[in-house]
Amino acid sequence: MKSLFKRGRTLGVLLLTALLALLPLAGCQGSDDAGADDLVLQVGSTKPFKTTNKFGDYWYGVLSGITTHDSLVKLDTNMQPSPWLATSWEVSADSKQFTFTIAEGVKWHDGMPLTPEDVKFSIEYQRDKIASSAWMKEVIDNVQVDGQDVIINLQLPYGNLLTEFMTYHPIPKHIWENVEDPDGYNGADRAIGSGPFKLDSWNETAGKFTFTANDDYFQGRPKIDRLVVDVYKNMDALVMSLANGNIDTWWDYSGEFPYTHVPTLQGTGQIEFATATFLGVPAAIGFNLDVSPTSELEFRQAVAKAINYEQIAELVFDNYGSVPTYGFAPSTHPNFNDSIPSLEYDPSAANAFLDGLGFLDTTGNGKREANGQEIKLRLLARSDTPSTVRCAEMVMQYLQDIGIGAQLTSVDSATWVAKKDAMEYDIVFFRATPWGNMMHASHGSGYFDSRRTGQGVLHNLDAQDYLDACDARLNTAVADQQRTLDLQLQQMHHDYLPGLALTWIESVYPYRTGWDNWVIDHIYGGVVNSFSWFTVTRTAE
Amino acid sequence: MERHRHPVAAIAGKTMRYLIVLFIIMSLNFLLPRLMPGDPIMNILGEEAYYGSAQVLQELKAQHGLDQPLYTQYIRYFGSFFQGDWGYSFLCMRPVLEAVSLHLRWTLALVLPAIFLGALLAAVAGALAAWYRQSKLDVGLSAFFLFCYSMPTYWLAMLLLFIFGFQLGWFPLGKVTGGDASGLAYLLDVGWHMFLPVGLLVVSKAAYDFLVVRNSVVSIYGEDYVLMAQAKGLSQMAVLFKHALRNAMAPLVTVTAIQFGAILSGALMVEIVFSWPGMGTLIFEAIGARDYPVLQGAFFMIAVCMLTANYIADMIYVWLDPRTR
Repeated sequence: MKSLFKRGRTLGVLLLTALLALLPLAGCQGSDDAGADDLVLQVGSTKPFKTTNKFGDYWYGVLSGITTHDSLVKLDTNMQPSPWLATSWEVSADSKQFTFTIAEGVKWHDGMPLTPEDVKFSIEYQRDKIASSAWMKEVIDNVQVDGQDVIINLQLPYGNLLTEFMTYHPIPKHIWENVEDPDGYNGADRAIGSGPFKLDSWNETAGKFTFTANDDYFQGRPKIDRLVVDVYKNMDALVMSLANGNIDTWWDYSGEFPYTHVPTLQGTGQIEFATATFLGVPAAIGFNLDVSPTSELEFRQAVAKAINYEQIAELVFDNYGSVPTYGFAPSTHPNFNDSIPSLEYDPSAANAFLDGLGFLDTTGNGKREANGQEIKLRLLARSDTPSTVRCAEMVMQYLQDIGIGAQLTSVDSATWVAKKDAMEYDIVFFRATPWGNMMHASHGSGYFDSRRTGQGVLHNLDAQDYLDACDARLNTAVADQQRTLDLQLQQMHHDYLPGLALTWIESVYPYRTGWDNWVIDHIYGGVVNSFSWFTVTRTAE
Repeated sequence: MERHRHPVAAIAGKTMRYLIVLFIIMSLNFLLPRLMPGDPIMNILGEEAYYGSAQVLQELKAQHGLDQPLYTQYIRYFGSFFQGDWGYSFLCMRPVLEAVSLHLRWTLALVLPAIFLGALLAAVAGALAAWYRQSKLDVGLSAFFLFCYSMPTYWLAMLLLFIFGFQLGWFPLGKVTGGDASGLAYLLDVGWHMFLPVGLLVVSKAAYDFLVVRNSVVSIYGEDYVLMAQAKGLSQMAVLFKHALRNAMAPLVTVTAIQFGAILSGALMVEIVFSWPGMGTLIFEAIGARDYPVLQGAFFMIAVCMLTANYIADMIYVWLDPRTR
């Protein structure tokens, strides 16, 4: 009896513990609405999604751009603007008026028609209420509607408007017109768009989005019935899920799939890989042009010659990297300037530049001096991108090889931004995203123009002819003029050397065998993009 | 001459001490995030910020109260905090109280069983190892727990995920739930997802506590009351668990109370490996975004949990050891 009582007490302790564990979960529940015959694509991602408000959550905003929402124009796989919600467009000769003709028969997910009035409202709403769209206040004067046309009159010529509008998505006026705080809007209708998929559910606890195909989509119904985006907090778990079939592919914007996982996945025999040239720059350096010695062009040239780009491509990027040119943006960008020379590892030339500057090693300790003191550069890197830190360590070694001392400070992203904006560095390590390279006057100019602000922006080059070239590029929508200025800006990156790419890479996009006919998109996320929804097929179980 | 305080006065005094500590912690919660370099507004604007946005920056600062002097922000912080307004998270885009509650729930789901089961495991294993010291059982248990103690938690977590989740397929590859169940099936699904991370935390906690209990039991092994219990003819297990272990429990209770806060916020690596939406990941992301309101709210909740655990530990201590009454 006593023994029984004791056992009961032990059992009680265990039950109490289980109860304590389950108590906090009261009120949580999932839902089950799977269809057995649906063609379901499961996509894994490691992006930190928080809400389904595209204004309040940067990452959902990016995801919504390929699922629930449309843009007026899209960049096609040849990097040219192609019609989408706007069936055509015209630009005035002075680049101050853009006229978009909106497609007819487009519906919002709630069945209401998408009208030119919605497009006008969306532009004005985002201009007035979205902090990150504040550039529109400087550019857009007024928006008018004429039949199916939406006419945007600008305060100043702005040739990059088409590119900018590729990331802006019309929203339904009847939902948003009374919302004063768009970032914080939590209404159930906040995710309604006009895109190929409707948001079915977002289970924050499970980290899972479910989208269903939009039967009334104006471009035709997507081939996939349901799209599930499964969110993981680490890439290792995601790769294991991919290998064992829990997910079919991977989505990211601007991130690289870790090359170290490629051989393992290849070994399963169940995973295939698509590749495309990454339009961003995964590892780059920028110089502080306000302080010596990095303010000296010859010094920057010496640094450029001291770096072993092939070694970085091999060791950090598993031979998926290639040696960049001085022009910064990769060759797949439109109007690439192929006359600019490639960067080249040449320590002798680097030493010659330094000798020419009078930075000599007078004490014979292997360290060069400037003004009687050993040179010690301040290197600044972000600790949250391991490949950047690895590159920084290698560059530090290359600098030491030519007698330049350096100290690496590796900090979290927010500290990096603060130090970068305070110019507390001689060389800063950064990465350029695909859209980042296209923003402003294109080809990475948005990172260097000294008048800009922003998280990843260096704003370190204030040469007047460079700023003028940026303005001229922004002021024209004429293709020939854009081409001339694009070539000129790349040449200026070579001439002024405000920064340089350490590598260009081929991105790899894994997907499970059986899925075919993907469109590989350079900019919207590899195989997971708006074009693939209409081509992808599943040929085997 | 010993002073005797009225029990009510003793409790009031203790409560006052805890409140003072809480006030200091709240002040530090306010100050420390603001001492970090970095601007939360830049996290809101992102790369799209244009060169004409100085006014926008100022407006955003005003909107979040960051344009005010620090002392004004401090007074407002206390004023609104006790009115239930913990501020708005621009990282989570929801009120801080809501964001913290959501994540705290899942952290408690991990930590509570880990605390209790870990302590239970440590008590039993530590007591047995001490009682049969230098036996094969003692050597085996000591080696196992020392191995676990010396292994980085994230490495063990990854190992468990790889072996039991990927290779054997017995458990899911992280997360809280598959998201496709409801009712009892949902609770079972959550339990299935919890097994590996809770198991890991149980072993991690027990690894340290095992040594504490073992040493504690060893130190009282030759005490008179233990010999007395043996002389009464009680079974070995009765002597160990009824007499010896109870007197060796006090250090375990103290350690558990101290560990509570650390486990609450320190399960970050386990949360990341198992894609668990707990407090660790919330704090980690909030630090990256310099989301001051979330940091204040999260640290406050941890402080309250920590102080409560210590308060309870004080009470249990008195129950375990009548000499402290």
